[in-house]
Amino acid sequence: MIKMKDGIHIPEDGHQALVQQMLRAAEPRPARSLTRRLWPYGAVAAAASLALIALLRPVDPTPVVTEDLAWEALDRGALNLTDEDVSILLNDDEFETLLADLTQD
Amino acid sequence: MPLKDEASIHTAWSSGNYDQAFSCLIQAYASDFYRTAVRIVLDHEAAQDVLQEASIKLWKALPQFKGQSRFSTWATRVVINESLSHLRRQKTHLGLDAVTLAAPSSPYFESDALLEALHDAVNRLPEKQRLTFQLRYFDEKPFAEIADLLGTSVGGLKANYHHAAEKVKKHILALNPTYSDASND
Repeated sequence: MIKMKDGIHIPEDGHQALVQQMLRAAEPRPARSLTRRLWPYGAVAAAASLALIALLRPVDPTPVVTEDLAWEALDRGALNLTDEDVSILLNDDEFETLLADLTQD
Repeated sequence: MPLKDEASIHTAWSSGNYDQAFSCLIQAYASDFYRTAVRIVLDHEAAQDVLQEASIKLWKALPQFKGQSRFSTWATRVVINESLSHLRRQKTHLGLDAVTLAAPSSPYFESDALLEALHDAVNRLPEKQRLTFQLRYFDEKPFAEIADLLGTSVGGLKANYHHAAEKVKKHILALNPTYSDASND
């Protein structure tokens, strides 16, 4: 090691550490820096999209009850209607139709 | 400055191998760059920051190097400019009086009383005289190269150096008259 007049003497391992530090600082890494620059925006966009989907999606969608489905449920005994319920729900014509359908088989 | 280093850098650079040219440049002069930076910013960590910034600038600018000076001279100029910018930012941020270190704070600085006094004297000089004195006295660079580094004339530099040396000598002798022998070197 050469003695310097300014008293700053850098040993070989110190020199190599400086070399590595400088080479590392200049390593070209555009893809990584681009990713680093964009990831916060990506994260915000993803969070906003999820929030929007959650807001627009029906929480508990009401099932569409068709006439056929209702009849099938009644036919299978899934609906437990008393005579009184039926008389309240149906007018006379509908009641006659129901009786006719139920006694058809 | 070893000419073989300049030749290796030039060979790689002229064939478009900038990776190798940059690697050769750093391998050959990293310690010189550090010494230049730490004498200006006076702090090891700050000097390392300066070298990182300078390294990025050198790497980006290397393909556009005009070849009007040695690679080492061109790169040292970048390091000096980066060091001065760092110092100005620090002074703006902390206030002028905050930067009052007498000598470099570095693990590589082997201090003694005379060296402390010498650095203290040099760091009191105006910027141009300080840089001229450091490059001439510490690094023993020719005036022509210092003129190239600092963008000034050789005549002006010689006058600068003369004034700087007088002030340094006066400061050291005022601290301790027994340094008279050393100050004549």
